[in-house]
Amino acid sequence: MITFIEFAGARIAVDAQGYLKDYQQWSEALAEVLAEREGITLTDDHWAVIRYVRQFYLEFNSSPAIRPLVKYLQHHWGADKGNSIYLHKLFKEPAKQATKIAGLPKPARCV
Amino acid sequence: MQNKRFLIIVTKAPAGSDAGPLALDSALAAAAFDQPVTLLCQDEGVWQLANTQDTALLGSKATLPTFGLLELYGVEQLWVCADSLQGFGLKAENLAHQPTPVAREQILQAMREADHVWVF
Repeated sequence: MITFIEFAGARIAVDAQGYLKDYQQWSEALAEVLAEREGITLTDDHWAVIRYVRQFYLEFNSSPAIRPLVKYLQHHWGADKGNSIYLHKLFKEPAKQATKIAGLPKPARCV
Repeated sequence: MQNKRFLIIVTKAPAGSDAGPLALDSALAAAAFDQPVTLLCQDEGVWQLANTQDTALLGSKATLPTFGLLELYGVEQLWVCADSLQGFGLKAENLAHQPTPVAREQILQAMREADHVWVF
């Protein structure tokens, strides 16, 4: 099932769970709308995660599940913020929501 | 959980089969559960790592970048069969992700020692 988000005079296609159908339609302004649909107000801390999730996708051609996302952030940020607890403070379901707000496909793996 | 040693072998070229993504997914899944994994590219499977691939021409999703996830998942053993490389005239510099070329004897030994050998 495809639904559409009306955004900036365009119709953006999303799947039944609200993930963008085409990750190239993403913009930072659209991310605000996607976050709102998740009930999240984006702070700088959210943005930092979202940008890294997007970078992860461009590097590996794959949306991150939680484990590799944590490892990836550990590698770039150190253990302070590169941990599961920190991510869960920002997002109820970090991998799924950060991926969705970053305009990427749903992570294919659960682990 | 008791550790089981996995030897996952991909024997098919990247285009025309989904052996690459399947082998990779299996390796990542086993590694996510902290099982020791060796991923071996053998026969035409060595082309999975060829760094001259252009999947844009095929309109299919590239698997090559996803091999970079192995390290993040703690898979340190990415092997290529040295004989297969030689057979195709491929050299280390033609391959991405720095796999370790291994000789036939080492592959046979890994097969003997593994608890699970999965061939794709």
